[in-house]
Amino acid sequence: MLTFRFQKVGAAAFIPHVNAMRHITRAIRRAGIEAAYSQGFNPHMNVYLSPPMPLGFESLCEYCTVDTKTGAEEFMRLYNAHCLKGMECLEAAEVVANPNIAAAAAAALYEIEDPALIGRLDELQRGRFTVEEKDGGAEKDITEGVLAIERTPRGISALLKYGNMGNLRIDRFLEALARRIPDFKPQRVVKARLYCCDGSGEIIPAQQYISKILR
Amino acid sequence: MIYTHILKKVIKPARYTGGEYNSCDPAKPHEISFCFCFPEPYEVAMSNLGMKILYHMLNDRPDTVCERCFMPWPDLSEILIRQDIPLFSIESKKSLREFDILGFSIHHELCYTNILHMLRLAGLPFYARERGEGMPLVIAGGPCSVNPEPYAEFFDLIVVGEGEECLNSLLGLYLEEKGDRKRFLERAAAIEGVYVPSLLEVQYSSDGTIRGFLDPKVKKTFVRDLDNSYFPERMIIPNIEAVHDRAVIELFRGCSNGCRFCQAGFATRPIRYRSKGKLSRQAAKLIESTGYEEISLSSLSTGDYPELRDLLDELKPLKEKWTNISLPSLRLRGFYGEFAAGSLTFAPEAGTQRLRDVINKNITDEDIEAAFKEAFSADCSNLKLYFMTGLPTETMEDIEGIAQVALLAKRLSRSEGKRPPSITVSSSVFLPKPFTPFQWEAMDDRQATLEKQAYLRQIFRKNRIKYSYHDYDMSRLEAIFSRGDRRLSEVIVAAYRKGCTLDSWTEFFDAKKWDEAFSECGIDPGFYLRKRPFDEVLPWDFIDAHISRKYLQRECERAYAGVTTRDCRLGCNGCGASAGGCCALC
Repeated sequence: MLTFRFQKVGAAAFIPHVNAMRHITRAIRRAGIEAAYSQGFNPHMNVYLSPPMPLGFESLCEYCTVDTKTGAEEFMRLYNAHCLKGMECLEAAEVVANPNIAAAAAAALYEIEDPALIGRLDELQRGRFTVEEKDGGAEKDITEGVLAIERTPRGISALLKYGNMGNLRIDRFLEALARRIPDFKPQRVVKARLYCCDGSGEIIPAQQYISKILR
Repeated sequence: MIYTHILKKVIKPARYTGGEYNSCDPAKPHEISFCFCFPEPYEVAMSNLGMKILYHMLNDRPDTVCERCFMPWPDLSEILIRQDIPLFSIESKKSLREFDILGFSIHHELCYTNILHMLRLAGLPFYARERGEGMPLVIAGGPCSVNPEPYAEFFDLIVVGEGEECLNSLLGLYLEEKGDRKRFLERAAAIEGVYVPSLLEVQYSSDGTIRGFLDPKVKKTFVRDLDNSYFPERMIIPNIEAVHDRAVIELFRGCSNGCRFCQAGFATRPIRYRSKGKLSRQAAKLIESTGYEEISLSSLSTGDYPELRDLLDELKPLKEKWTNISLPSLRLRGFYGEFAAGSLTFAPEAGTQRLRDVINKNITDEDIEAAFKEAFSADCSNLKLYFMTGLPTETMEDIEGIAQVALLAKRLSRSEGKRPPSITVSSSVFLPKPFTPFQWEAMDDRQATLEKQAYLRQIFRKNRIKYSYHDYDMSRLEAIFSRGDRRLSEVIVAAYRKGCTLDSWTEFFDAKKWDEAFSECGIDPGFYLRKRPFDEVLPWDFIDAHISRKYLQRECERAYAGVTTRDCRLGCNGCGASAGGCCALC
């Protein structure tokens, strides 16, 4: 079994989660990589993805686990020669079991580039984040989903809750930022890092989480 | 990425982003920029086999880049209009106006207003006569070109028939005459299959019927040597799931069955087969280049391919690589039971033997029963049955027959002692189509159609069989345009100006607006739905589709006599399609 990190950038950022899975399985098939299939009436390739994110946002840290005996280096070479542009594999590791990143994912770090954010870190770290409820009207406090905010050379990075254990969508967080910073107009937003919750409840980088079950 | 801010505001933005696997590189040096326009949204357009063939054929030419543009969904249309952004191609996001040629594929009568919408969004006038030098040449082709008259005046030229060879000739001529549209069109009219509407004059009688045409006939073009004709070794993988999201190989063109209502069966003659060796090589290449999990063996009647069993044997290595092989368009008689697993569709078309003989379906009650038994003894979990109402000579007894066939299926499905499969019955409304033996027939009226549908609905509800049926008003509009003349172009424009687009989508279709458009233009829709005498000049009579009019008339007379005509494989019936010298059966 093998877990790999891939990006979803450019046009590929607009491909929905379920279709992204099809693109990955087709790339694996084109590449001639042997993979295991499910049993039953309608067999499908055994691939497992990290949780979905909203359409149109770029990511450098999507994860996929595939049931294959191909080595990590060989997989990367073959897969990248046959994959959809914008969905390249960035690193791969052979694992003894499916790390089930979809279940373990706990937080995601987003880099948000906007000159309007520079110099406003203190202000952002202090106040509360609110959005309008989807059905209109009431205000909803989403501050609980914001785990940390840091300064970056071009704006800020925000660590948000992500996955089954609580989820703050990046588009909702951007809405909240826009409510607090009137001239907010992000030039680039990218999901840069994924964090998982290990057995002890500690939140650790996904790479570190995966490294615990390396083959 | 260009237009990212727009894409975040629309549903399914991947329809417009491009960058699909196996799509072309628009930066390739080229002399001709061609945009393949499909007047339906992405998921429908990306399923079209014609587009798959022509897109790659044009991009394989060293002098041409072919991009794509499809009908935008209303959310994007609204933004483009509001922000004054011209409609753009999927690959390079270039405005349609900047292309040398826009090639529309017209596959359905209810997409005519979509053509106008795309032209408007591109900033181009609707009528060819209003477009001049400096604007792209706007051409059309596709299945509806067998009667292009209702939309003819929107186009500079129309390819009648199969596009492969004709399009290559046209592009060669375009390079010779680039910059002189008039001379290009005059010379293009001499190419087989090319119809230049501005060169045809239609003369009318005082009763509104056509008296004649002032121009030589336009001959339908077709690929003589199908086995050696172009077929792509790669296909674009859609960004989002298309209606038919799988690899396709095309077994043959034309159909030998001669069902009297079926336009495709006659209009795509002569019958030409691809060899099984070539097909199996194409299939292997396509699976390798696309990674698809399924390959469809396409044709009008796949079970009629003479070497189907051998072909399936040759395709076995693909099955071992987790690739499904699907056989669409199987006939009831002699279908392949092993492909019955899952969902299966049969089209008896009519409920009684008498009416099936009238339409020359050439299947018996015994065939139907045998096919049901075979389907249920395999793992068929979902059986779909297609019928038509309003066929010539139909009575209520035939409608009751539809119910009887479905009830027979239900009974047999239980007798096998397995979990009963779901049975769905679907009925469409018979539409008389050009180049069929029923081209002179009338269409059923609304009242009669609704009564038949209500009758079936009641029976199927009682017996817990799912039933769906085509909307009468949509079918009526399709019937008007399929046998329409060029006077209808102003109705299409009037309806579009009232807001009609995406007319084949029930959520957007508005029959009332269409009625208003007809009324404002002073055109009686009934004129186009009526039964026509054999000696009337029909709007498509200037087209030679290689099907003899006498043959069609004879077939119509045989239909009324309840006499069937044999399958062409049992002997030539003299339809005229062999005149080109390449009918595989003659």
